[in-house]
Amino acid sequence: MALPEIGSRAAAFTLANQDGKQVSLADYAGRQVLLWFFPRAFGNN
Amino acid sequence: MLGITFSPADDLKTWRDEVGLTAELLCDADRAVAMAYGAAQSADQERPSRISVLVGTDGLVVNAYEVSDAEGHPAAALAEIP
Repeated sequence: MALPEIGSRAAAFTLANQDGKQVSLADYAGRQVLLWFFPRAFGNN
Repeated sequence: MLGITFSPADDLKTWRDEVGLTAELLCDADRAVAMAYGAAQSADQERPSRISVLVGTDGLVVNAYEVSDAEGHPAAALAEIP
């Protein structure tokens, strides 16, 4: 699957964080945010 | 910065504390977000690909990266933010 196209709308999501709290991309509206996909916890990320 | 992977929240919490990360780490257990962003091809992929996506203040994608230098990448990506 391809990387998102530059200038396209970032896909909305809501996921649980490390404390089980729900976090949405929308929570960061109006701020720049870097989404960092990494292989796993405890890895050499 | 939001870190996203498939590891369970408990593992994320333990690892985050161990290595002293301050970024929130999110659990994409069903791979839906990784698939939407091109970090996974299918719902049974074991681990996400190393990619990162910079989202601007307007919710649009500013840049997307395939990460080859995991160590140096965050600083390089953050340096692009005006």
